[in-house]
Amino acid sequence: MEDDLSIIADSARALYDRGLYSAALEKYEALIQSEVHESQLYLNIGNCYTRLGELGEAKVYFERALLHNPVNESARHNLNWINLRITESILEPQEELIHWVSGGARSFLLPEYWIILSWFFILVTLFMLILRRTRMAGLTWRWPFATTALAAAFIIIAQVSVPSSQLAIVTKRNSVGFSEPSNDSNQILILNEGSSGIVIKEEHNWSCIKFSNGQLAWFSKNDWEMVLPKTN
Amino acid sequence: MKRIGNLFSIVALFLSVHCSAQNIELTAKCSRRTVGLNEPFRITFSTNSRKGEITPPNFEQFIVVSGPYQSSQTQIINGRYSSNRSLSYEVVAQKKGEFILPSASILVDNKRIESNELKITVKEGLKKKNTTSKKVKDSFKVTILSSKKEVYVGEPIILKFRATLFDPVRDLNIIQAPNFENVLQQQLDSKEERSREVVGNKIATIFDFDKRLILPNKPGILGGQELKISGKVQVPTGRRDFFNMPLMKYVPQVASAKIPAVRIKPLPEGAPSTFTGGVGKLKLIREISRREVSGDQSITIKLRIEGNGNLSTLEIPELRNIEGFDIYDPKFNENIRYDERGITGYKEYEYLLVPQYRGSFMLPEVTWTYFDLKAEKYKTITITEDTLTVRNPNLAASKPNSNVLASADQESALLDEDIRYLQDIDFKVDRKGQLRSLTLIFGAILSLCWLWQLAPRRTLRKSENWRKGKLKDVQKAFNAKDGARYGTMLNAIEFGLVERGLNLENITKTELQNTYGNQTGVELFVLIENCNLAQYAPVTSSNDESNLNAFVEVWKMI
Repeated sequence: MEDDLSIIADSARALYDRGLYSAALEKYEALIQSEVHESQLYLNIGNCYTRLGELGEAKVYFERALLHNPVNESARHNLNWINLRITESILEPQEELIHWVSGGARSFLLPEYWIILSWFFILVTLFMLILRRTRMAGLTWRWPFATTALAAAFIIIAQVSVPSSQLAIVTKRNSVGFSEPSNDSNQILILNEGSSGIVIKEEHNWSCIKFSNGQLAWFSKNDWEMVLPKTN
Repeated sequence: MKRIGNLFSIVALFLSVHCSAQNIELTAKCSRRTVGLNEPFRITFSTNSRKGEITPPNFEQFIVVSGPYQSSQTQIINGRYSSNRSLSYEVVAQKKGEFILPSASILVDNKRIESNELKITVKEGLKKKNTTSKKVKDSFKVTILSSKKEVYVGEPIILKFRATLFDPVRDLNIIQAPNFENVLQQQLDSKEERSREVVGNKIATIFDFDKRLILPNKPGILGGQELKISGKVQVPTGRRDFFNMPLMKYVPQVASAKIPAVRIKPLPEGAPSTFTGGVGKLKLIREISRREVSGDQSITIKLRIEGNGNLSTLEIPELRNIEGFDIYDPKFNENIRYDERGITGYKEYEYLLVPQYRGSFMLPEVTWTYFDLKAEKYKTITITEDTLTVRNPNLAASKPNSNVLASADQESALLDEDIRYLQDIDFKVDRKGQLRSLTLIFGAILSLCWLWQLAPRRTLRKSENWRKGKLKDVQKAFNAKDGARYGTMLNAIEFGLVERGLNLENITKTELQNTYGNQTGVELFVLIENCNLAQYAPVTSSNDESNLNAFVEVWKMI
C-alpha cells in the first residue's frame, strides 16, 4: 500500500518538475483521497496551487501543512511568501488560547508521540504497583501515583495537540459579506482572495465569519475553504 | 307674413356678420417716422376685431423700453356696434439708418390679417425743437467707471455702473447690458448707493446700480456693446390743475454709456513651463494627513492654491503618480470670494492614497509658477519631496524602483525569493485507532492495578487485627502473671513464623536473620530461647518485663 502511494507521489513530483502543475495536483489530491494527511503532502499541494496562481487555495494548504506540523519551516516560508502577495487581505484573526496551546504541544511532539510517552509512564506505574504488592510492601504509594498523574497529563496533551481550527480562507477572487444569511440582505463587506476569518456559525450554505476587528458577516460557503475540513 | 319677416331678419344678420368680417383691419402706427438714436418713440398696433390676439413683429433693430400697453374701446352708436383694440410699445433704435419694421398679424376665424410695415429713419441726434425735449434728454445719464486703466491678462478689474439723475426719474431699467468680449465677468453683491453731488452747477443724485468684476483673458482693449438704461423722466405738461399746481407727465428716455477704454496687457514672455495661468499674489500649499501609516489606513494629500488672484481660471498642479499607492480621483474644494478687492480664497484638490505595498515611498516635489502682479514677474513655488512610510504587515513589500526608498528588509528579500520546493512525503501508517485502543487497554490495566493495591490492604488490616489480638493476649498473660505466659508468647511467635513459612521447632538464628534482617533476627532468636528457658526455670519479674518489651519490639517487625 505504501509503495503504491510512493509511486503516486513520485509521479506527482515528476509532473510538477515538468511544469504540469494541474496534473501533479490531481495526483496529490488522489493521495488525500487515500487518507494520507501529512504536512509534506499539504505543502506540495500548496505549491501546485501557487504555481497555478490560485493563491487563496495555496494559502489554505500551507496553513493546513502548518496545522499538521507547526515546525514545517518550508510551509511557513511558503505561507509568508503567499501572504506578501495577497495585498488586500485583511488582518488574520488571533488564534484562541486552546489553539495556541495545541500548536505549541504539536510543535514539541506530535500527538502519537505524546500517547507513547504516556504509555511509558503507565508501564512504570504498573511495575511499581506490582512490586509494591509482591516484593516491596514498604514502597510508598506516592511514586506510582506521580507516574499515573504524568501518564494522564500526557494523554490530555495528546488529545489537545490533535489539530483543530475554525480558520477559513477566501479561495475565490472576492467574496461578498452579507448582514444576514441571504442574498437579499445588505452587503457589508467585500473580501479579496486570501482573506481569512474564524467560522463561528453555519446555516445551510452560509457561514458566519468573525474577523480580527470583531466584525461579523455571512458569506457563501462556496467562496471559502476551511483550513481543517470537517469530517463526518 | 311673420315668417317672411323672420327670414329677412336672419339674412340681414348673416349679411352684417359677413360685412363686418370683411372689414377687419390691423394697422401699425408710429409716433414719429424719423427719430434720433436712443430716442424713445411709440409704435402702436390697432385692430377693430374683437377676436384674436395681435402678434407683434420682431423688434430686431430696436430695443423695447417699455410695453406692451394694451387698450380696448367699444362703441354702439345708433345701434351700430364698433370696437377698437391696440397694443403699443415704447422703443429706441440701436443703430443709425433706415429700418423697416415688419408687419404685425392677427388670426381671426382662421384667417391671418397682417398690418402695414413701418419705415423708420434713425439719425445720430435730432435737434430738439423745444426746450422740454432737451430737458428730458439731459435729465439723466449713465456711465461705466473702471477701477484700472491698464491691466495684465488675468488681472481683475472692477466696473461700476453709475446713473446721474438731474431730475426725478422713475422705472430705471437696464435695457442693454454691456456684453464684454474676451472676459470672464462676475456680478458683485453691492448695496444700491445713492448720494447727492454737484455736477456742472447742478445738484444731481448719484446712483451706483451695478458692480462687476471683469477678468480679461486676452490682451487688447476692453470692448463690447454699450450699456443702455431706460427711465421715465418727470416733465411739466404746461397745464395746471384745479389747485393751480402744474400738471406733470412722465416721458420715457434712454441713456447709454460706452465701455471704458481699458488696456489689457499680455503677460511677459518667457513664462516657465510650470506656469498654469495664475496671476496675482498666490501661495501653493501641500498638506499631508499622515506620513506613516499602518493597518488599513489611508493618506490624504491636499494641494491648495490660495491668496488673491485669478483663482477661478488658474489650474492646480496635479499630484503625480506615486509608487506604492492607489490614487483615487481627487475631490475638488474651493472657497472663492468676489469683491472690490478682487478674487480671494482658495481652491484645492484632495487626493486619497490607499497603500498597495509596504515600505517607504518618495512623494515627489511639486513646482508651480504664477505671475506676481506686484513684482510684475513670474514667481516659482517649490514644495520639496517628502517620504511616506507604509507599515501594514499584510501588504507585500515594495518593489525596488526609482521612487521607492530603502526597503531591503527581510520580507522584501522573501518577496524576491521563490517558494520552497516539494517535500518527500513520509507515508506513516495511520495508527490513531490502534493507539487509542491500546491507551484504553493500558488505562484499564492501570485502574485494575490501583484497585489491586486497595484489595490487599483489607487483608492486611485483618492480619493487623490478629497481630494486635495476639499482642494483647501476651500482655494480658504477663500482667496476670499467668504460669503459661511464656507459652502464650511462644505460641504467638510461632504463628508469626508460620506466616513466613518457618517452623519454630528447628529454627536457626541464620534463618531468622535472613528472613527478618540481622538485628530483628537476633532479637527474635534470643526471645525464643528465653521463652523456652522460662518454661523450665523460674524467672524474675524484671525478666518478665524485659522479655515482654523485647516481644513488643520484635512483634512489630515480624
